[in-house]
Amino acid sequence: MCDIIYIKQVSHDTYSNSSGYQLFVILDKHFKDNSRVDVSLKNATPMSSSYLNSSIGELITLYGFDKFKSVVKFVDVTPSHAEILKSYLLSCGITIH
Amino acid sequence: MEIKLRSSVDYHKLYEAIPSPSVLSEPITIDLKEHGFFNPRDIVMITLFIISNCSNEHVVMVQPPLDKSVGGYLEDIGLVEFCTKNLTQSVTIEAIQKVTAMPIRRLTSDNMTEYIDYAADYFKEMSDNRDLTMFNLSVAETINNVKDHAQSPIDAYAFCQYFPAKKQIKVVVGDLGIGIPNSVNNYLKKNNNPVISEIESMKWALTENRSIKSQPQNQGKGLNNLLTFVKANKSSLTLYSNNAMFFATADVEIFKKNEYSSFSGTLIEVVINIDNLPEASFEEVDFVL
Repeated sequence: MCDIIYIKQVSHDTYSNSSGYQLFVILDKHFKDNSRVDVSLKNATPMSSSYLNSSIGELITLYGFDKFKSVVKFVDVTPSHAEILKSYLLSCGITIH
Repeated sequence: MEIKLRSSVDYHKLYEAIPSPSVLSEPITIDLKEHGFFNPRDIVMITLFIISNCSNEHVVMVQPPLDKSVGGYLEDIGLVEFCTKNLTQSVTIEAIQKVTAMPIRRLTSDNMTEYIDYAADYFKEMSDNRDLTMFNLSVAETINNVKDHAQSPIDAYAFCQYFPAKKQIKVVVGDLGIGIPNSVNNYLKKNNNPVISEIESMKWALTENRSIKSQPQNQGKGLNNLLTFVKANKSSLTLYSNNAMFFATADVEIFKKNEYSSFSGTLIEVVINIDNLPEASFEEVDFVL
Protein backbone atom coordinates (compact mmCIF):
# COMPACT_ATOMS: atom_id res chain seq x y z
CA MET A 1 0.00 0.00 0.00
CA CYS A 2 1.54 3.29 -1.04
CA ASP A 3 1.18 6.73 0.54
CA ILE A 4 -1.32 9.21 -0.84
CA ILE A 5 -0.66 12.93 -0.92
CA TYR A 6 -3.49 15.40 -1.43
CA ILE A 7 -2.31 18.48 -3.29
CA LYS A 8 -5.10 20.45 -1.69
CA GLN A 9 -3.60 19.69 1.71
CA VAL A 10 0.10 20.02 1.04
CA SER A 11 0.24 23.07 -1.25
CA HIS A 12 -0.89 26.54 -0.31
CA ASP A 13 -2.05 27.00 -3.92
CA THR A 14 -1.45 25.55 -7.38
CA TYR A 15 -0.17 28.73 -9.03
CA SER A 16 3.17 29.75 -7.53
CA ASN A 17 6.71 28.41 -7.58
CA SER A 18 6.81 28.40 -3.79
CA SER A 19 3.75 26.15 -3.56
CA GLY A 20 5.18 23.87 -6.21
CA TYR A 21 8.31 23.64 -4.14
CA GLN A 22 6.24 22.50 -1.13
CA LEU A 23 5.08 19.55 -3.19
CA PHE A 24 8.59 18.93 -4.49
CA VAL A 25 9.99 18.60 -0.95
CA ILE A 26 7.37 16.03 0.01
CA LEU A 27 7.72 14.00 -3.17
CA ASP A 28 11.50 14.12 -3.14
CA LYS A 29 11.53 12.01 0.03
CA HIS A 30 9.72 9.28 -1.87
CA PHE A 31 12.29 9.40 -4.66
CA LYS A 32 15.10 9.11 -2.12
CA ASP A 33 13.33 6.24 -0.33
CA ASN A 34 12.29 4.68 -3.62
CA SER A 35 8.71 4.40 -2.33
CA ARG A 36 5.64 4.77 -4.53
CA VAL A 37 3.23 7.61 -3.89
CA ASP A 38 -0.19 8.57 -5.21
CA VAL A 39 -0.69 12.28 -5.78
CA SER A 40 -4.37 13.14 -5.50
CA LEU A 41 -5.71 16.15 -7.38
CA LYS A 42 -9.07 15.95 -5.62
CA ASN A 43 -10.57 19.44 -5.44
CA ALA A 44 -7.29 20.98 -6.57
CA THR A 45 -7.42 24.20 -8.59
CA PRO A 46 -5.73 24.23 -12.04
CA MET A 47 -1.94 24.05 -11.89
CA SER A 48 0.14 26.82 -13.46
CA SER A 49 3.36 26.08 -15.30
CA SER A 50 5.31 27.73 -12.46
CA TYR A 51 3.75 25.35 -9.96
CA LEU A 52 4.49 22.33 -12.16
CA ASN A 53 8.02 23.53 -12.93
CA SER A 54 8.93 23.74 -9.27
CA SER A 55 7.38 20.39 -8.41
CA ILE A 56 7.22 17.69 -11.06
CA GLY A 57 9.48 19.50 -13.55
CA GLU A 58 12.25 19.67 -10.98
CA LEU A 59 11.81 15.98 -10.11
CA ILE A 60 11.86 14.90 -13.76
CA THR A 61 15.05 16.92 -14.27
CA LEU A 62 16.68 15.40 -11.21
CA TYR A 63 15.61 11.79 -11.59
CA GLY A 64 14.43 11.33 -15.19
CA PHE A 65 10.94 10.54 -16.44
CA ASP A 66 11.25 6.77 -16.14
CA LYS A 67 12.04 7.06 -12.45
CA PHE A 68 9.30 9.67 -12.05
CA LYS A 69 6.61 7.40 -13.38
CA SER A 70 7.85 4.50 -11.29
CA VAL A 71 7.38 6.56 -8.13
CA VAL A 72 4.45 8.93 -8.81
CA LYS A 73 0.91 8.19 -9.87
CA PHE A 74 -1.65 10.96 -10.28
CA VAL A 75 -5.14 10.04 -9.05
CA ASP A 76 -8.51 11.82 -8.79
CA VAL A 77 -7.66 13.66 -11.99
CA THR A 78 -10.40 15.63 -13.79
CA PRO A 79 -10.31 16.13 -17.57
CA SER A 80 -9.00 19.70 -17.15
CA HIS A 81 -6.22 18.55 -14.80
CA ALA A 82 -5.34 15.89 -17.36
CA GLU A 83 -5.11 18.47 -20.15
CA ILE A 84 -2.80 20.63 -18.04
CA LEU A 85 -0.54 17.69 -17.17
CA LYS A 86 -0.43 16.51 -20.79
CA SER A 87 0.35 19.98 -22.06
CA TYR A 88 3.05 20.49 -19.45
CA LEU A 89 4.70 17.14 -20.09
CA LEU A 90 4.56 17.79 -23.83
CA SER A 91 6.45 21.04 -23.25
CA CYS A 92 9.08 18.89 -21.50
CA GLY A 93 9.27 16.67 -24.59
CA ILE A 94 7.14 13.88 -23.06
CA THR A 95 4.06 12.69 -24.94
CA ILE A 96 1.22 11.06 -23.00
CA HIS A 97 -1.42 9.16 -24.94
CA MET B 1 -0.55 69.09 -19.09
CA GLU B 2 -3.84 67.82 -20.45
CA ILE B 3 -4.41 64.45 -22.10
CA LYS B 4 -7.73 64.02 -23.84
CA LEU B 5 -9.02 60.46 -24.18
CA ARG B 6 -12.20 59.74 -26.12
CA SER B 7 -11.82 56.05 -26.90
CA SER B 8 -9.31 53.19 -27.01
CA VAL B 9 -7.56 54.71 -30.01
CA ASP B 10 -6.43 57.70 -27.92
CA TYR B 11 -4.61 55.73 -25.25
CA HIS B 12 -1.26 55.95 -26.99
CA LYS B 13 -1.29 59.60 -25.90
CA LEU B 14 -0.77 58.64 -22.27
CA TYR B 15 2.73 57.30 -22.70
CA GLU B 16 3.73 59.48 -25.64
CA ALA B 17 3.07 62.53 -23.51
CA ILE B 18 4.99 61.26 -20.51
CA PRO B 19 7.45 58.52 -21.40
CA SER B 20 8.75 58.45 -17.85
CA PRO B 21 6.87 59.64 -14.75
CA SER B 22 10.10 60.87 -13.22
CA VAL B 23 10.60 63.69 -15.74
CA LEU B 24 7.34 65.51 -15.12
CA SER B 25 6.93 68.59 -12.96
CA GLU B 26 3.47 69.94 -13.85
CA PRO B 27 0.07 68.47 -12.88
CA ILE B 28 -1.60 66.12 -15.35
CA THR B 29 -5.26 66.35 -16.27
CA ILE B 30 -6.84 63.36 -17.97
CA ASP B 31 -9.88 64.59 -19.84
CA LEU B 32 -12.46 61.82 -20.15
CA LYS B 33 -15.41 64.14 -20.81
CA GLU B 34 -16.10 62.78 -24.27
CA HIS B 35 -15.06 59.21 -23.53
CA GLY B 36 -17.56 56.51 -24.49
CA PHE B 37 -17.36 52.78 -23.74
CA PHE B 38 -14.34 51.62 -21.72
CA ASN B 39 -12.71 48.34 -22.63
CA PRO B 40 -11.12 46.46 -19.73
CA ARG B 41 -7.73 47.11 -21.29
CA ASP B 42 -8.49 50.86 -21.23
CA ILE B 43 -9.19 50.52 -17.53
CA VAL B 44 -5.87 48.82 -16.81
CA MET B 45 -3.96 51.21 -19.07
CA ILE B 46 -5.36 54.26 -17.34
CA THR B 47 -4.89 52.70 -13.89
CA LEU B 48 -1.22 51.96 -14.57
CA PHE B 49 -0.72 55.53 -15.73
CA ILE B 50 -2.42 57.14 -12.76
CA ILE B 51 -0.88 54.86 -10.13
CA SER B 52 2.64 55.22 -11.50
CA ASN B 53 2.40 59.00 -11.64
CA CYS B 54 0.78 59.33 -8.25
CA SER B 55 3.42 56.99 -6.82
CA ASN B 56 5.95 59.55 -8.04
CA GLU B 57 4.01 62.26 -6.20
CA HIS B 58 2.67 63.86 -9.34
CA VAL B 59 -0.74 65.44 -9.26
CA VAL B 60 -3.18 63.63 -11.58
CA MET B 61 -6.67 65.00 -12.04
CA VAL B 62 -9.41 63.21 -13.92
CA GLN B 63 -12.25 65.01 -15.64
CA PRO B 64 -15.04 62.42 -15.59
CA PRO B 65 -17.11 61.44 -18.63
CA LEU B 66 -20.09 63.70 -19.31
CA ASP B 67 -22.16 60.62 -20.14
CA LYS B 68 -23.48 59.71 -16.70
CA SER B 69 -23.73 56.00 -17.47
CA VAL B 70 -20.05 55.91 -18.48
CA GLY B 71 -19.03 57.93 -15.43
CA GLY B 72 -21.15 55.66 -13.27
CA TYR B 73 -19.32 52.66 -14.68
CA LEU B 74 -15.97 54.09 -13.58
CA GLU B 75 -17.39 54.63 -10.09
CA ASP B 76 -18.88 51.13 -10.02
CA ILE B 77 -15.67 49.34 -10.92
CA GLY B 78 -13.75 51.30 -8.31
CA LEU B 79 -11.47 53.21 -10.66
CA VAL B 80 -12.27 56.56 -9.10
CA GLU B 81 -11.77 55.33 -5.56
CA PHE B 82 -8.72 53.31 -6.46
CA CYS B 83 -6.89 56.06 -8.30
CA THR B 84 -7.69 58.91 -5.97
CA LYS B 85 -7.58 57.67 -2.39
CA ASN B 86 -6.25 54.21 -2.39
CA LEU B 87 -3.23 53.89 -4.59
CA THR B 88 -1.96 50.52 -3.52
CA GLN B 89 -4.94 48.24 -3.20
CA SER B 90 -8.70 48.27 -3.53
CA VAL B 91 -10.50 47.82 -0.25
CA THR B 92 -12.30 44.64 -1.23
CA ILE B 93 -12.10 41.85 -3.76
CA GLU B 94 -15.85 41.42 -3.73
CA ALA B 95 -17.35 41.17 -7.20
CA ILE B 96 -19.16 44.18 -8.61
CA GLN B 97 -22.49 42.58 -9.44
CA LYS B 98 -23.88 45.58 -11.31
CA VAL B 99 -21.27 45.30 -14.08
CA THR B 100 -20.37 41.61 -13.63
CA ALA B 101 -16.75 42.48 -12.93
CA MET B 102 -14.06 41.99 -10.36
CA PRO B 103 -12.56 45.17 -8.92
CA ILE B 104 -9.21 46.41 -10.17
CA ARG B 105 -6.61 44.67 -8.10
CA ARG B 106 -2.88 45.03 -7.50
CA LEU B 107 -1.57 41.49 -7.66
CA THR B 108 1.64 39.67 -6.90
CA SER B 109 2.38 35.97 -6.81
CA ASP B 110 1.87 36.18 -3.04
CA ASN B 111 -1.69 37.49 -3.13
CA MET B 112 -3.05 36.25 -6.46
CA THR B 113 -4.52 32.99 -5.11
CA GLU B 114 -7.32 34.63 -3.16
CA TYR B 115 -8.21 36.80 -6.15
CA ILE B 116 -8.14 33.97 -8.70
CA ASP B 117 -10.17 31.57 -6.62
CA TYR B 118 -12.75 34.19 -5.68
CA ALA B 119 -13.09 35.48 -9.24
CA ALA B 120 -13.33 31.96 -10.71
CA ASP B 121 -16.15 31.17 -8.28
CA TYR B 122 -17.92 34.37 -9.23
CA PHE B 123 -17.63 33.87 -13.00
CA LYS B 124 -18.70 30.24 -12.61
CA GLU B 125 -22.20 31.53 -11.80
CA MET B 126 -22.57 32.91 -15.32
CA SER B 127 -20.62 30.37 -17.31
CA ASP B 128 -23.29 27.73 -18.05
CA ASN B 129 -21.39 24.98 -16.27
CA ARG B 130 -18.31 25.46 -18.44
CA ASP B 131 -14.81 24.61 -17.29
CA LEU B 132 -13.09 27.85 -16.23
CA THR B 133 -9.57 26.44 -16.00
CA MET B 134 -8.69 28.90 -18.75
CA PHE B 135 -9.57 31.81 -16.46
CA ASN B 136 -7.40 30.57 -13.57
CA LEU B 137 -4.47 30.00 -15.90
CA SER B 138 -4.86 33.39 -17.60
CA VAL B 139 -4.39 35.25 -14.34
CA ALA B 140 -1.80 32.92 -12.81
CA GLU B 141 0.48 32.72 -15.85
CA THR B 142 0.41 36.47 -16.46
CA ILE B 143 1.11 37.35 -12.82
CA ASN B 144 3.94 34.82 -12.65
CA ASN B 145 5.34 36.31 -15.83
CA VAL B 146 5.42 39.76 -14.20
CA LYS B 147 7.15 38.33 -11.14
CA ASP B 148 9.74 36.43 -13.16
CA HIS B 149 10.58 39.01 -15.80
CA ALA B 150 9.06 42.45 -15.55
CA GLN B 151 10.86 44.24 -12.69
CA SER B 152 7.73 46.33 -12.39
CA PRO B 153 7.94 49.05 -9.73
CA ILE B 154 4.18 48.86 -9.19
CA ASP B 155 3.68 45.08 -9.45
CA ALA B 156 0.78 44.08 -11.73
CA TYR B 157 -2.78 45.35 -12.00
CA ALA B 158 -5.64 43.10 -13.05
CA PHE B 159 -9.18 43.77 -14.13
CA CYS B 160 -11.71 41.16 -15.29
CA GLN B 161 -15.22 41.59 -16.57
CA TYR B 162 -17.93 39.32 -17.97
CA PHE B 163 -19.84 40.61 -21.01
CA PRO B 164 -23.19 38.78 -21.11
CA ALA B 165 -24.18 39.82 -24.65
CA LYS B 166 -21.04 38.25 -26.14
CA LYS B 167 -20.66 35.60 -23.42
CA GLN B 168 -17.04 36.61 -22.96
CA ILE B 169 -14.81 37.10 -19.96
CA LYS B 170 -12.07 39.64 -20.58
CA VAL B 171 -9.01 39.30 -18.37
CA VAL B 172 -6.45 42.09 -18.48
CA VAL B 173 -3.18 42.20 -16.57
CA GLY B 174 -0.67 45.02 -16.96
CA ASP B 175 2.60 46.19 -15.47
CA LEU B 176 5.08 49.00 -15.96
CA GLY B 177 8.20 46.90 -15.94
CA ILE B 178 10.91 46.89 -18.57
CA GLY B 179 8.79 45.11 -21.18
CA ILE B 180 9.36 41.82 -22.97
CA PRO B 181 11.41 43.12 -25.95
CA ASN B 182 13.76 45.09 -23.67
CA SER B 183 14.07 42.14 -21.36
CA VAL B 184 14.95 39.78 -24.21
CA ASN B 185 17.48 42.16 -25.72
CA ASN B 186 19.14 42.79 -22.36
CA TYR B 187 19.58 39.05 -22.08
CA LEU B 188 20.92 38.71 -25.61
CA LYS B 189 23.42 41.54 -25.06
CA LYS B 190 24.55 40.03 -21.78
CA ASN B 191 25.30 36.79 -23.62
CA ASN B 192 27.15 38.56 -26.44
CA ASN B 193 24.39 37.96 -28.96
CA PRO B 194 23.22 40.64 -31.40
CA VAL B 195 20.22 42.73 -30.48
CA ILE B 196 17.04 41.87 -32.43
CA SER B 197 14.00 43.95 -33.37
CA GLU B 198 11.21 44.34 -30.82
CA ILE B 199 8.88 42.16 -32.88
CA GLU B 200 11.54 39.47 -33.26
CA SER B 201 12.19 39.60 -29.53
CA MET B 202 8.48 39.08 -28.86
CA LYS B 203 8.58 35.99 -31.11
CA TRP B 204 11.69 34.86 -29.22
CA ALA B 205 9.91 35.16 -25.87
CA LEU B 206 6.87 33.23 -27.06
CA THR B 207 8.89 30.29 -28.28
CA GLU B 208 8.34 27.30 -26.06
CA ASN B 209 10.80 26.78 -23.23
CA ARG B 210 12.71 29.93 -23.99
CA SER B 211 13.04 32.47 -21.28
CA ILE B 212 15.61 34.97 -20.12
CA LYS B 213 15.24 34.48 -16.41
CA SER B 214 12.94 32.41 -14.32
CA GLN B 215 12.62 30.74 -11.03
CA PRO B 216 14.12 27.28 -11.15
CA GLN B 217 12.55 25.31 -13.92
CA ASN B 218 10.16 27.96 -15.22
CA GLN B 219 12.01 27.80 -18.51
CA GLY B 220 9.68 30.24 -20.24
CA LYS B 221 6.69 27.95 -20.26
CA GLY B 222 4.20 30.46 -18.85
CA LEU B 223 3.28 32.57 -21.88
CA ASN B 224 3.52 29.59 -24.16
CA ASN B 225 1.26 27.58 -21.86
CA LEU B 226 -1.27 30.40 -21.88
CA LEU B 227 -1.12 30.58 -25.65
CA THR B 228 -1.70 26.81 -25.90
CA PHE B 229 -4.86 27.06 -23.80
CA VAL B 230 -6.08 30.15 -25.66
CA LYS B 231 -5.85 28.25 -28.93
CA ALA B 232 -7.35 25.04 -27.57
CA ASN B 233 -10.34 26.95 -26.21
CA LYS B 234 -10.81 29.16 -29.27
CA SER B 235 -10.26 32.31 -27.29
CA SER B 236 -7.86 35.18 -28.03
CA LEU B 237 -4.69 36.63 -26.57
CA THR B 238 -3.34 40.12 -27.19
CA LEU B 239 0.01 41.15 -25.80
CA TYR B 240 1.30 44.72 -25.89
CA SER B 241 4.87 45.29 -24.77
CA ASN B 242 7.25 48.15 -25.50
CA ASN B 243 6.78 48.86 -29.21
CA ALA B 244 5.62 45.39 -30.20
CA MET B 245 2.23 43.74 -30.21
CA PHE B 246 1.07 40.14 -30.59
CA PHE B 247 -2.44 38.88 -31.30
CA ALA B 248 -3.43 35.22 -31.44
CA THR B 249 -6.54 33.11 -31.86
CA ALA B 250 -6.85 29.42 -32.67
CA ASP B 251 -6.11 30.13 -36.34
CA VAL B 252 -4.16 33.36 -36.42
CA GLU B 253 -0.91 34.77 -35.04
CA ILE B 254 -0.05 38.37 -35.80
CA PHE B 255 3.00 40.32 -34.69
CA LYS B 256 3.02 44.04 -35.35
CA LYS B 257 3.94 47.47 -34.05
CA ASN B 258 2.29 48.31 -30.74
CA GLU B 259 -0.63 50.68 -31.19
CA TYR B 260 0.18 52.07 -27.72
CA SER B 261 3.43 53.66 -28.84
CA SER B 262 5.94 54.55 -26.11
CA PHE B 263 4.24 52.17 -23.66
CA SER B 264 7.03 51.03 -21.41
CA GLY B 265 5.50 47.96 -19.79
CA THR B 266 3.44 44.93 -20.72
CA LEU B 267 -0.31 44.55 -21.02
CA ILE B 268 -1.92 41.19 -21.68
CA GLU B 269 -5.56 40.75 -22.61
CA VAL B 270 -7.22 37.34 -22.76
CA VAL B 271 -10.74 37.14 -24.17
CA ILE B 272 -12.38 33.90 -23.07
CA ASN B 273 -15.32 32.78 -25.19
CA ILE B 274 -17.51 30.92 -22.73
CA ASP B 275 -19.34 28.92 -25.39
CA ASN B 276 -16.04 27.50 -26.63
CA LEU B 277 -14.98 26.14 -23.25
CA PRO B 278 -15.53 22.45 -22.48
CA GLU B 279 -18.30 21.41 -20.12
CA ALA B 280 -17.11 21.30 -16.53
CA SER B 281 -16.53 17.70 -15.59
CA PHE B 282 -15.75 16.43 -12.14
CA GLU B 283 -15.31 12.84 -13.17
CA GLU B 284 -12.04 11.75 -11.59
CA VAL B 285 -9.73 9.12 -12.99
CA ASP B 286 -6.17 7.95 -12.58
CA PHE B 287 -3.75 9.64 -14.93
CA VAL B 288 -1.56 7.04 -16.56
CA LEU B 289 1.96 8.25 -17.28
